[in-house]
Amino acid sequence: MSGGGLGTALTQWRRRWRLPEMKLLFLALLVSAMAVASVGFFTSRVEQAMLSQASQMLGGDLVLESARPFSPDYRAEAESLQLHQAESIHFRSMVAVGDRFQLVAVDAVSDAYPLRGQFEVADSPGAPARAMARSELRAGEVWAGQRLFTELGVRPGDTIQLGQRTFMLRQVLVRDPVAGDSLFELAPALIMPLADLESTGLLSPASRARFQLMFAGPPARIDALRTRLAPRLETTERIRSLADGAPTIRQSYERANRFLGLAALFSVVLAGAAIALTAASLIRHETPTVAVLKAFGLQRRTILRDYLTSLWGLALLAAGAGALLGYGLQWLVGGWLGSFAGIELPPAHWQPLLVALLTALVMVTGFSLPYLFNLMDTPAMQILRGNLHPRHPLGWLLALCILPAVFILLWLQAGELKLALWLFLGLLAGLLAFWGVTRLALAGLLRLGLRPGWEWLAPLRHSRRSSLLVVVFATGLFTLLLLASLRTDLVGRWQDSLPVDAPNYFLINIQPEERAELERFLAEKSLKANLFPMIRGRLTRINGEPVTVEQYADPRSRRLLEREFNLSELVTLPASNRLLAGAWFPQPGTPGLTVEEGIAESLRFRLGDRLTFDVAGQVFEEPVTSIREVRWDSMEPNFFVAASGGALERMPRTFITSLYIPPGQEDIVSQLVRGFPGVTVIDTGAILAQVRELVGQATFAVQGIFLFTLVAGVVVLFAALQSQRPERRRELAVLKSLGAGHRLLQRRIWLEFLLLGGLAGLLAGLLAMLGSNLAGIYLFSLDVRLNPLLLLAGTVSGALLVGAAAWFNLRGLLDTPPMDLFRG
Amino acid sequence: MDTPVLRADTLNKTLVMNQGADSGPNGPLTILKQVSLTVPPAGSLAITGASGSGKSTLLGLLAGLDEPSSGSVELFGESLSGKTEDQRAALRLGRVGFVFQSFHLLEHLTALENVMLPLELAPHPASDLRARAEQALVEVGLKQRLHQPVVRLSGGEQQRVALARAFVIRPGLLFADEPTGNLDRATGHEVVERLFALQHDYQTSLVLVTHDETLAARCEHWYRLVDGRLEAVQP
Repeated sequence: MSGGGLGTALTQWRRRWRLPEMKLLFLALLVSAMAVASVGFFTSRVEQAMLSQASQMLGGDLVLESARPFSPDYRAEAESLQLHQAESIHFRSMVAVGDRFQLVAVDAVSDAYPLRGQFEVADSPGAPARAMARSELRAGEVWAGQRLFTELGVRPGDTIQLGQRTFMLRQVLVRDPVAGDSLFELAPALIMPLADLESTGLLSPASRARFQLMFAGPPARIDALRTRLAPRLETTERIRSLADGAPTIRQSYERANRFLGLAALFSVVLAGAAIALTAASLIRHETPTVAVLKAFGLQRRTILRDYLTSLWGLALLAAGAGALLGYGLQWLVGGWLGSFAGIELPPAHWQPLLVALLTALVMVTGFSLPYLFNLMDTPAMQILRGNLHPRHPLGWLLALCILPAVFILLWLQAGELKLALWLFLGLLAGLLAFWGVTRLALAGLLRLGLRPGWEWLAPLRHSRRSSLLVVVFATGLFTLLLLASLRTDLVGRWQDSLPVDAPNYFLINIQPEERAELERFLAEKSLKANLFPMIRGRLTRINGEPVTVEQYADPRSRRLLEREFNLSELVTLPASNRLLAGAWFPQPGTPGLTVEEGIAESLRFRLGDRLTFDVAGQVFEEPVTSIREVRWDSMEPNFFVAASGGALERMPRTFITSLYIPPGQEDIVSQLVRGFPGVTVIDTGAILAQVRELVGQATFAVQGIFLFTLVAGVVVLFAALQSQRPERRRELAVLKSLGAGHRLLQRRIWLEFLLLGGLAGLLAGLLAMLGSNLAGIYLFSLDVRLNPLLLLAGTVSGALLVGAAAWFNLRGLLDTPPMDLFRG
Repeated sequence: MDTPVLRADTLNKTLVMNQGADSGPNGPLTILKQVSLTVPPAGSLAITGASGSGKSTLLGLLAGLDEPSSGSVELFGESLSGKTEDQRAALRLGRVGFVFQSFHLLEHLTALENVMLPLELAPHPASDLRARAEQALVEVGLKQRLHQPVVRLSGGEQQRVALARAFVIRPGLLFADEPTGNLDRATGHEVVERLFALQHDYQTSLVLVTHDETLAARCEHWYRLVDGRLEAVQP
């Protein structure tokens, strides 16, 4: 209690532990730590799984790309950081078999390639695929894509000529994990050992080739390498990492990550509310004790130190236990995933443990300090006067302690200052809105309650208490409704974006004269396909000024300008696109261009800018009339720049389309290839499978983490009820002594909490409707949808949940004799 | 003559009910006027008075729980004037005992733990505090109740625990505020007997605030608070 050292502190702690509030506080801290830790552990595992999935598409954790060979310094740098390395050189060449020739896309790769993911090969075309390491390919052997076998009529074991030497076609390449980037590679793929490249004599300093260096290793060392290399890169060199990986993967990953982050954050806020309520109720309970201790001569700083020591001890214990339980929980979920869903998660990081401990300490300190300061100032005189009522902390004191604590918690979870700041302001605005609307609504109800026939509203008369309950319940319900709504939208959106019949083949190079016949062929096979024109043009001027690569510093812009754009004509806005600015073409043939958001940003296009394109010598100029966001994971043809339908009629063009060919009907592909020899067929099934796997992981994570938030929400509900239990006890004692029977009290409790819960649910539903739309637009790129069902769901679930929880919490008091209630 | 344990000199206590009003129903309310008293070592003093006469306010001032509007209090020869709340608390620590009308035991603790509490407050708690607390409880006749949570004890037993808690530190001065106020006659009598016995055994000075004039008559000095002033009564 005072200066007695650890032994005395432990004794005090053990005694204080007998207080029911200490146990509730422990429970609240335990659940919050459990939520934070399990969410943290689980998120880190899913994040790693998703990153590793994304790494596979990149071939490593960090990739350097250039049109020229790299300086050996880069490799030395990576070696000093003990990172794994692999190398590839990509170029096009002709393969000859007798007098037949075929253009191929060659990847000459080192033994370790790819650092993430695996090749899949088959012994003959159509045979089952199996994983195989590149090192199993011996010198003088190559793997080639199925199309090379079809086009040249060769079989595995046959010999091909590549440059100055011959190679043996060892197996059929079924899957190159690093295909995400070269989806639209027209030529069949060919994988050969890097060591054999020189002997082919194909690569000279003037050759057009893409050089890649890949690195893999622990994230911290990868970051270190990026930091070291970034300032030394030539303008022709660029770094690619998971963050700027293939757009297909990136969007799904980012959305899932944002949702998980948001859910973790909400569970912290909810747990914080539970702890604030319980800490306040603990301190209230301790007021008489402190008055007695002060009369006996205890000083204020001793009191503060004593309580803080007790609370910190409790926080550490609860957080440790909670983190362990959280670890166990996510371990079970991870194991379940492994056995049922076939998804292997990597082991968790230890950081969530630290976050859970810090969270518990910040919560217990920030939320109890204002009450502790007040407790210290309890006048000892109160003990003589008998008015042992706890004082309410001053508003500024509450704000000074609780607000920074909340901000730190948000920061800990969000991991980034700016986001934490926005969330903090949003939370404050939300709470103020809840408080204001609640006060207004309760004032209205109470006014109504004064009228004859409306006396049943009387239980709400304790308006401060009722307001507090409504705000706490509404916050909890809002969180749950918002997450539920986002989760449904998000998961639904992912599933919609990858329906069972998502396109798995692309057809390109369709000549205009083949179009009608191809459409007929597809209709005969009952295949749906929408053919888009594809016009290849080079951007030459912006607003009349010539465009040169030198005007742009960043490699992406330079690369875009070096290549030809795939332009198209669009009659309607594709389902996977969303208009961000400007207006869609009022009718086909209208002048104007619609531009994808990312490219508009890279090349600094603004609405109204006039762009000049050169299409095989024909020049046209159109203004930018709209900017679109494109969902790249739709697996449909998408275009950076497009004109309205028919506007580019005079320009030379081919057509492109995507198709879904159901499993077992792959012979249609062969018929296509034979019937339309000029058309290039690209199999995107492999990339689709990767995206599906990723979406499966993300969906599961989202569902699982939502459950943890639900648990945190229920704890808040009970903490709020428990914090008002002593007051309820006295109230019930008085009502019972005045003659209120069991049934009357029962009805009163149900009525009060159904009303409060319903009101809280209605408010929560309203704000969730607004919040889910805001979050949908700004965080998840989902469409705005006002869902009135949220209001109904909020009101009904609020009334029932709160009513039932209150009944559960207070039913014991109903059976207690009034004298026992008075005694406390 | 020995230094008095407690000396109050012309104490006044005025409460400002409503700022800005100098007189009338909302003006300052004078509770204590020119109160002076002295308690010698091992002496006993009773203060009686009607409800609301200011007895508890006076007790609070004497114990240093509150500050007078004017006048001074000396505790163990040290003036309380100008001392902060914490400095006044330090002066009481280990030397002043309290017995309250509503007992004010800590509900979540056992009888023994409640009695150990004042001993544990010392900067360097003694190693035999448990034995001393047990002894104190034996002296008030609660040998069989040491490990009972206090909420399970009767009113009389709870007040005996409070007596043990007050005397366990062998206080130089004990303040008792209506010690029998919440007890029936027979139980109250028993508690009072023990109170005076302990006071005698430990040579503790006693300041007793009570309604009960029979009880007051057992003290060496008896004052009645009338209209904020102390009037001596001959026991």
